[in-house]
Parts: sequence; C-alpha cells; structure tokens
Amino acid sequence: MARGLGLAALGAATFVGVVACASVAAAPVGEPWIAADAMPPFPANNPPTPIKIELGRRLFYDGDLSWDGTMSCATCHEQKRGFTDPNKTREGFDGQPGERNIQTLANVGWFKSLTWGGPQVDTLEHQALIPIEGLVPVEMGFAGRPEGRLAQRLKDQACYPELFAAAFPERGGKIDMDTITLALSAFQRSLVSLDAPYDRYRRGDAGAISEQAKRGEALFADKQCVSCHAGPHFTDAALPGVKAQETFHRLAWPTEEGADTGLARITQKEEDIGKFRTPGLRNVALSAPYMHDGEVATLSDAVRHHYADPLAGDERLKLSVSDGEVADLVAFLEALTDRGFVSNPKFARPGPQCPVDADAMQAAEAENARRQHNSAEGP
Amino acid sequence: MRLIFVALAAALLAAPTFAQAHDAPACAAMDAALPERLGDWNGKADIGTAPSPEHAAHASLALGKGYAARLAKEAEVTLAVEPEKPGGSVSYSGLFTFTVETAGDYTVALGAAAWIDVLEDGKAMEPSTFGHGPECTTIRKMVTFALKPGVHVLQVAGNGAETLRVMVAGKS
Repeated sequence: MARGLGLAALGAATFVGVVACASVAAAPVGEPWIAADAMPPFPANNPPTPIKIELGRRLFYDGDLSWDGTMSCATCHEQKRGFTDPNKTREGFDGQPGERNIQTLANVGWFKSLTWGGPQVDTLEHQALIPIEGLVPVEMGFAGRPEGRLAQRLKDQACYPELFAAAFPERGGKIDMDTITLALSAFQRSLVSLDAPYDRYRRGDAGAISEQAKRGEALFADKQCVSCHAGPHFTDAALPGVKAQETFHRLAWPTEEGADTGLARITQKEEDIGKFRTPGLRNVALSAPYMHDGEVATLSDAVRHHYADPLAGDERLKLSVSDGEVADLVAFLEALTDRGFVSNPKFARPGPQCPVDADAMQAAEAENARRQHNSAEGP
Repeated sequence: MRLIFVALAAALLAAPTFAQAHDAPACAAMDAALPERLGDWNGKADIGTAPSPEHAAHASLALGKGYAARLAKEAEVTLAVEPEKPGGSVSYSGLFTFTVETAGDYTVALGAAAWIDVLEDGKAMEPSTFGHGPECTTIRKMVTFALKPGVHVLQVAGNGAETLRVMVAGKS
C-alpha cells in the first residue's frame, strides 16, 4: 500500500490511539537516586549464586547455543555497545531475516516486560527460550530440532558438567533447557549499569555532567520523554506498580502493508496496532540504530522521530523540538553511558579455562544454602 | 473513510509476521550481475584449510579467484588470534594466506556469516568497511581492509558448515 493512502486513511480514523504512559516520572533532582550497588529482584527458583552467574556467562558467549554453532547470545548483544548490535535487525543463524532491533540488556533484571511486542514475556527464564527455540523470527535455530541435542552438546564437553553440578546441586547438576535458561537468566540479572555520569550527578557530583546535559535533563521532563522513559532505568517497563501491557506505546501509525503491528500481533486489537514497549535508555548512545525496526540511524534523529507523526494521537508527541533542544537532549542521553559497565571484565567473554574447582563448588553450595533462606524478592 | 481505516487495520493485523520480508529484492537470478572484481565468485576452486598458522602458507588463496574452501572443526584448528566472536564446538574454522603486491583496499567476500580476521604482521586488522554482499548474489558478507604489500593470513572462525565460499578481491 502506498504511504500516502495509508496516511490519508489513518488521518480519517475515528478512533485515535493515545499513548498511555506511566504517570510516574523519574525522581526529581534532589530526591534519592538508585544506589550504585542495587541489584534486581530474582525469582524464588533462581537465586543468583556466583557459580550460576559464571555458568550463565559461559553459556551467553557460547556459539553452541545455536544449531550450527555460529551464534551465541553475545553475537547480537555486544558488551561494547551496551549489549546491543549495530545492525537494524539481526539475521538468524542461517541468514533468515531478522525482525526487530536488538535491545540492551543493561538492568534487564528489573524489566517486567522483555520484548518489543509481547507483554506475556515477563521473565528472563521465559525470554531466553525465544532466541534459542523461536520461529518468529528464527534466531539460533533449535526450533523443530531433536529435543535434548543442545543439552547433549554441553554434556559432551569437559567443563560444563562440572559447572552445572556446582551451579545446580539441588537438581543434581542436571543439564537441560530449564537449567540452561536459569543460568542465562542469572547472568543477565548481574548486568547492572548504575554508574553513568548522570548517576554520579544524581548522587551529588554536580560536575559529573556538562551544563548542556543539565539543560537536556530539564528538556527530558519538559518534552514529556520522562512520561514513558521513566524511573532510574528510563523505561516504564521497570517501574513498580505498572502492568506490563501499560508499557506499550505508539509513536507512529504503521502505514505500509506488511508493517510490524507490535502489540496488536499478540492482542489482535486495533487499538494496539503500532504499539511497542518502551525501551530503556541506559547506554543508548552506544546502541545505534534506534527504534523497534532499527530504521533511525542516529540519536538526534531518534529524538526527532518521537515528534514526527502528527497522527500519533498523543498531545505530548505534538510538541516541537528545535535543533538546539535536540542537541541538549542528546547531551543528556550521552550522560547515561556507563563506561565501566561496557568494559567490565565480569561481563566479558570468559577465558577458555574451566573455573570450577573443589573450593568453588563448596562455596557455591554454601551460597546456595544461604540464599535459600533469603526472600524470593531479593536484596 | 472509516471503512478504509478498518480495512487497513484488518490488513495490518493479518499481515505476515516478518516485517522485513517485503524489503527483500525480487531476484530473477542469483549472481547474474556480479561486480567485475568478483566475477569469479562461482569458480568454487577447491582448497583445504591449514591446521595452524605455521602451515598457513600451504593454503594460499589467489586474489580474484573464487573458492569453495574446506574448513575443519573448531577444535582441530590452532587459530592465529582469538576471534572476537568465536563459534561453538560444532562450528568450523580455517586458516589461509593471500599475497598483496600493491597497498590498497582488499575485500574478503564470504558465502556465509562466519567471523573473519585478516592478520598483518601477526596482528588482526580493523576492517575499513563491512556489510552484506551485493543484492541478488550469493555473497552474504563482505569485509574490506586497507592492507600493505606482503603475505597476509585470513582466519575464519564460527562457520556453520565444513565448506565456505570465499574470495579475496582487490578494488580493481
């Protein structure tokens, strides 16, 4: 369908979707900011022991998690880019077309909705299965393959059986999709990014960000960015008290035949067409290209894109932004880059040596026992 | 007009799930119009990988010649450098050399999305550009390096199959 016809038709629509973003904004300057050592909650069945996180890290960087050995999680989630990817979308293991832009994993342990278009994917343990076994799109290619092949591949290697035994003593070290996804999720919950210049500024270091970034911070509120990119993770998807489905919003109506309908693909409701979950903005300056389809190349254009569709239906998106204001907003967004996070060796690809020894196994078991007594909601 | 909108909404809801499917070009024939410098892409000359960097000179690629290179299981090849994105234990790797006579840009074309490194004086070079192959060709990936004259090592890692279509071409 021609874009013009689509716009004309949409302009005549009698119902107009309204972006219903969370009313909870980031804590005002002067209010307490999230602690630098905060950790996300975890489910009762997956306490994050050090050995389990280490196992998850190895799995995350292991190409054996794809059918032909060519793709690991890290193929698309590159640490130096804030655990994102420089392509608009990423092809699957055998060249199958990608569908949506790769999202950051920074602070993902706090997120209650984990994909661009599916509010039902609300745990990391569930999400981990999507790239490994999913069909829409095909990513790592285990869909329809003999069950147990991945687990067998790991059992055949020298280190993994020891690691699984140390990480999952309560399960007898079993290697299966359950323990694989539990370990991957434990590693992802360890990916905490809370030491950007803006964090330091909010914790009292007035010189941590530039004057331009401070102007951008004010604009971030004035231009209503904060109504969706809310809270210390800059997304309403990580705010307490907000339901997953309430974190999906529309910036523009899809107008072309075959366009990605976002949330409507799941709900099959007209009012959900074109709605996508608010992405977090931490390390956003490293994660170009932008938007759910990766069609916006630069951070400046991503800012402008939010105010580009007069038919979006939300009064807040009918604001205008000058070039100077865009520059200020970009300076603010650049202050969300946590250099320590993207270079932290704890999150990098591990070396070839197997980290398990008797002491590590004992420590893992003791840690496991200790955490069993802790709250399921975590520290 | 309301009807038009309803029809559009229905079409969108019923649309195929692959948003990018309509972006793929319709190709009458693959590799029918290869760039001149890649003209021998379908030559598919046979060559086997060297098992280690010391033996790489025995697996020498001629510039401008298309190969169907035989790789080896990841564990059976001693790589020259640690690849940024290695494959898993079931993937395939390879080591080859090629000789540059004149300094300039040289492109490695691949039929798959394997990770490659080109080594100059023993160090992996940063590519100057990388991306997909030309539309309507079976070239999936192209990586270009600015190289000095001399013998260079081409290291392949993380390929999903034992055979990899590969070619090194000058700018021409």
